[in-house]
Amino acid sequence: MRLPFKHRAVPFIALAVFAILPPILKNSEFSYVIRLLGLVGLYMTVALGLNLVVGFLGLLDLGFMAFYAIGAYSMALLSMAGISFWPALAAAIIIAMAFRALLGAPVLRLRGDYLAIVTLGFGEITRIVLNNWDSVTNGPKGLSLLTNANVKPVRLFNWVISTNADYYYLILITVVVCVIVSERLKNSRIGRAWMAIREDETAARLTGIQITRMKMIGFVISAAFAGAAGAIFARWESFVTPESFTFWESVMLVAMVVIGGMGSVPGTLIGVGIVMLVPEVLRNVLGTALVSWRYFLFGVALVLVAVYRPQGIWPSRRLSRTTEAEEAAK
Amino acid sequence: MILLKVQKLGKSFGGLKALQDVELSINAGEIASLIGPNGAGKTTFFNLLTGVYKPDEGEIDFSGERIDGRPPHWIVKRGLARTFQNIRLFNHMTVLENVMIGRHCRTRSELLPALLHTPAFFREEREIAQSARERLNFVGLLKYADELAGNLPYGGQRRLEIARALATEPRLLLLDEPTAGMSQVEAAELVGLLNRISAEGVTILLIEHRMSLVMRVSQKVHVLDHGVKIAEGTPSQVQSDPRVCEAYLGANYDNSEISNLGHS
Repeated sequence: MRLPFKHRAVPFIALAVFAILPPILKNSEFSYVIRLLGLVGLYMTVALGLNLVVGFLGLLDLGFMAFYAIGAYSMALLSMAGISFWPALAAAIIIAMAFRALLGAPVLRLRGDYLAIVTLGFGEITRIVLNNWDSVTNGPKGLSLLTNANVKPVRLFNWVISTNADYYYLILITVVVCVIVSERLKNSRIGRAWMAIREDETAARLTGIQITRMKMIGFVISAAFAGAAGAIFARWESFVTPESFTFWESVMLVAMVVIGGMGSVPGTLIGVGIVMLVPEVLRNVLGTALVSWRYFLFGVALVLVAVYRPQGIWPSRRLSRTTEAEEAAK
Repeated sequence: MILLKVQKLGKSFGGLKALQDVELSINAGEIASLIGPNGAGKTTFFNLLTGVYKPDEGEIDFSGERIDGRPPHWIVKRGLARTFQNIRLFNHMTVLENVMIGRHCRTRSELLPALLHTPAFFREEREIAQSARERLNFVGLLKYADELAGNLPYGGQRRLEIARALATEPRLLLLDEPTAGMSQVEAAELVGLLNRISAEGVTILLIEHRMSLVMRVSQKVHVLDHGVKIAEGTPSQVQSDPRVCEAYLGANYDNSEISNLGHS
């Protein structure tokens, strides 16, 4: 089921549309949309990372926001130490990956459910440490980069990145890079090994795949995505607090990947879009009287997806084909 | 030349002695069978050979190298591959991709080549797909290359498992009940496939309950019962061994049942 040519143009059309949005929306009443979409893009970056673990490897990770937090705090602290954006970004990514490796070394030998529990625990520990380590993180008050004289502006060649629209483009580029990385990994020897592990770990092991090593690679790379997104977030907000990295956020990330279609890159992007934008749209549509119902409606929508479209909204090619075959067999 | 030599192999699960003092050797190039009643320890034996379990006692030598206690991927790389009693395919991957997984241990590309799309990466990807197609052609599944493995008919899934194992370039192929659930016709086709694999120089050890097939293809038969090896020899030697008949039929058998053994 190869995509027809016109469908292969879809990503480029979507990219072009997103690229021209800021000038169109500038000075209109919808200019806040750019900021919202920038946030969506950051979550897309994080969710693409999580998709490597949840979608490709089939492991449940309930504490993924921890690595977004580690990226954000690393960037904040390094910037306050006077280090400029790009080296700090590289360092934030490496720090996030290093913590991920430390977490993965003991837990990746465990099977399924234990991994979910340990990652959940790690997510909470990270948040609690950030909240209490006053001397470094300034505790619940957070770190502000605005008032710090050491912080250097974010530059790409002559482009100074400062406005919402600037960050929007930076994030757009980041998402594109992450999509390319995801797709290339998926269609490689490593990506096939990940999917084999997801399908049947025992058979994969006895067909010669080093399970723990392959899991470790996916696990650690996923943190690079989260670390990069967190680092950009820290510079864009100029402010980080532990409140942004709760267990709830980690759960929503898993929901985004699952709703969109596990293992599917476009599915993940769509899942993020839906989970983040539907409550926003509902907020505007429902009006003040009903606005507090929006998470209830959202929950109902989640249940409906789980019941009627368990493979996700845009499943990976393979999963959708099985469902077709299963339906044809009925 | 002895390819596989197993000495005093023992494995217990709690109080149950699944295997005890098993001695067995397999010559390079032969087709050997491992038979025995249900629960005799045949699959446990395969699991010890392939590194799923570590033996409690004994040694396993594979072409002059100790392999007991080594991890499965190390053993596969040394040239020992297997199939499973209950088919274990990667159902949501295509038939071709299943065989490509078998090439994993013979190829090297990791992160950077895949991310940068280097020429070496494409060369290796082509090599992987090409040799996977050759294996599919060998077992007669090439025309299903782009189907999902889970959608293949039963006999096809069995052959796909064999193709995946062959893709790892084994010197010894372990087949765990390859004809289980097959029709007579499919089983007869499998005999042809086994002979062709053997002709390629791959040694085969087969767990099988279809005695007609065992007697037809194997040069040597090893018999397990309650975790103990009770006999070995040519098919006809084993067939006429009273201990084997007793293991299968109980102590009070009559001769007509013995002749049935060969034709069931």
